[in-house]
Amino acid sequence: MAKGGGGGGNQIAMLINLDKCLGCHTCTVACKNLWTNKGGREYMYWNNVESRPGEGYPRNWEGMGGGFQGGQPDPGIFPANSDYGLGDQGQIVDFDYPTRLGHDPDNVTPNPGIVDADPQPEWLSNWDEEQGDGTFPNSYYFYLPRMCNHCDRPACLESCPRKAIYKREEDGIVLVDQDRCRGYRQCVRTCPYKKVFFNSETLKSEKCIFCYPRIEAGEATACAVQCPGRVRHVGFVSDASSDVYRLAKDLKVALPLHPEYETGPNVYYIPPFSGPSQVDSNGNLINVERIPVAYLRFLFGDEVDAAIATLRDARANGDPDGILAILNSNNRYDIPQP
Amino acid sequence: MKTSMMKHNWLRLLCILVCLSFTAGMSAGAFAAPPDRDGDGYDKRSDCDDNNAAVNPGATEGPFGDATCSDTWDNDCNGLTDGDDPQCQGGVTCTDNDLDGYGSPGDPSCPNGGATDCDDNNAAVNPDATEGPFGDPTCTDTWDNNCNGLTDVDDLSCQLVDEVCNDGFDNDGDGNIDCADSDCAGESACTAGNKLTVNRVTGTVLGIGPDDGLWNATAATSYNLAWRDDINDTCPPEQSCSGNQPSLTVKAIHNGTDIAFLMSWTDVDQSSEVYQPSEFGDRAVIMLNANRICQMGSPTNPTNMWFWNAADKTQETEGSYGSVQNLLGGGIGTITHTDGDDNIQAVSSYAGGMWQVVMSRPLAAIDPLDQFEFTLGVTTDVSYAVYDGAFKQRNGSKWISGREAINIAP
Repeated sequence: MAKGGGGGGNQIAMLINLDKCLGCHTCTVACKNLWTNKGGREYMYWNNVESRPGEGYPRNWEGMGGGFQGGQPDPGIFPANSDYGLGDQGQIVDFDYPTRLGHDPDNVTPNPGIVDADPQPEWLSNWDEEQGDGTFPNSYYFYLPRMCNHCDRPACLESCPRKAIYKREEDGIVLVDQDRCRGYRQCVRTCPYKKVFFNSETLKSEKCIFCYPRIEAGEATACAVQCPGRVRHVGFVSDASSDVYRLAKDLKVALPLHPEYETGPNVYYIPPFSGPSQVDSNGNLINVERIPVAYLRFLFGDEVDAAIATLRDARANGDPDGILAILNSNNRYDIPQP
Repeated sequence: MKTSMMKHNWLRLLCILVCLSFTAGMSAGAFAAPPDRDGDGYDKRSDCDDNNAAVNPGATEGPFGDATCSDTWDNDCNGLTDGDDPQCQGGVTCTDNDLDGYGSPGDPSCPNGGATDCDDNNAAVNPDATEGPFGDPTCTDTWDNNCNGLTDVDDLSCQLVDEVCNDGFDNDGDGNIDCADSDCAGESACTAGNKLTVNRVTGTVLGIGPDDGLWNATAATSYNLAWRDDINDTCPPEQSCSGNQPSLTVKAIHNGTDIAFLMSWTDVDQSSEVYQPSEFGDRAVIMLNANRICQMGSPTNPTNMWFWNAADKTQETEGSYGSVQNLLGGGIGTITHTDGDDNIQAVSSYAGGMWQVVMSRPLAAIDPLDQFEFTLGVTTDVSYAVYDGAFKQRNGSKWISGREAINIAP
């Protein structure tokens, strides 16, 4: 078996165009309704959308270690319940829907509270929505959908003492075998993206399954299909004829998140490149990036400069490589039919 | 004219007779052919090696990959030996990405022969590479180094063979048998008086709790538990995971149909609820058919573990904590939850900084492939382990006994 339990080289991948993501969270809702709405999974977001800059979910996941450094594993740390917005005893926070939705007209308050939480939560998924950074009128933010990266070298897989995690030969999807998992949670710690979640009802760990039953039926993932912005493409990055390969590997305009974690992620992002620049005190556009490139380098590495240059060149010069044509295509999925 | 013709014919006949005589004399005398020494049908006039029956103009050299292309002989006597002979130059078709001399698929033209390289992108993996012995980095590199289909601890060459202290064999090959082997020092099989006898009682055994009166007349055996931390990164560097050494005693009884173990150990913090990713329950394990206990058994001789977890609510009964699972272990990383939970019952209590857990089961296994089958009058090896959840003990981080013995009274 290849290092990291890799399969036969077939690797399905997701490409997400951050330049078009409108932050509607429909992908999150689609995923949650399909996979994580009960059974101890209520707090899990196999897919979530974060406002960036921000701390994300679980809170400050980028500061919790994991992955590899110079090829050596970093054990990482556990997120605390408060980082997920869970109560000290695992209580799941929910909203006061009757009040919030006006179903109880005698009890409408201007700031309906959150019930079933004592103490009140200090963090939840999307807690820092659209806070962003910068100073008015040059404040900024953008959306970052996140999911399991189904890595080439999954730190979760290598750290599992139970051999409960495996990477499928046919498509590289990384799965947790629920029959073998014994809840030691090494994967929760070692995943640098903190996309493995512990289910305190089953006492086992769970994660995004890349909607493998849909993939096997020739259908794209729920998060991709439901996206109203059509920002997600699904295909085999191991297939040189695929759009994902062309944008990620050939033209290098789509980049993995935090490549310095050394896990070889297979979710690729088109960086946000076409927003307005900053304005001066008179409201006139000036030639200063609104989203600092330094922040994009923090997320996507130094290759983001060349990626943005290529994307802007495509927009300015007639899209000679067909990059924008692919990104605007209605044919976004390249999944073998059964 | 006619007379003249007859005269000429006579002379011709005479001439023929003389010629025949001359020819016969030549074959029998000075012009005889050389012998065929190697009996291959060719003498030295045409056989380029008349001492080797495999070499002659009628023999075949090649095609590529045939033994005749590497025997150092010019088999077909065309003046070209082995690889110099065009018939042996079938073309090198070996694909050897990692340049370790083995191809995938296997190809005789590869430098090290036609065996298949199971990972042709890793020079450390090929059919002639070594995996093991136990403790070698090749046993933890996640590769099937020697291409035998077994990776790391699944490979027998990576497995440590322990001495079994009561089977009459030199299991670990060090020349010492059973209690004569220093590895068995302290094991109950070699220590008089430390063997736990499972006495026969009258009354219900299945499903009883720690307070049942049947325990009163039963002697307890104490065990020294040793700390193990086989998973190096289980404990953060800044934290000690070992906690306090638990004091463990065990009682066991049977009634001819069912058997019950009462494990009692000290644990100052009760951990029977898991609310956070970083929280773990207290646990206790009885390992039956205990062998190679640090390896969890072997693939050919699996151990059977009754694994009680205070935080497991799946079969928790009122007034008690936790549930028990039936596990099989055939080496590190192989522990598998099998059928058989249904016939193991756990009743527990926590008071005064001490857990008391009774695990009981019919003597007969649901399936001998899934569970240890108890036999009356027979001694068997057993081992115990406890985990303190407050210190995040789990998996290889635990307090364990040695390989102990229990004798099931008839």
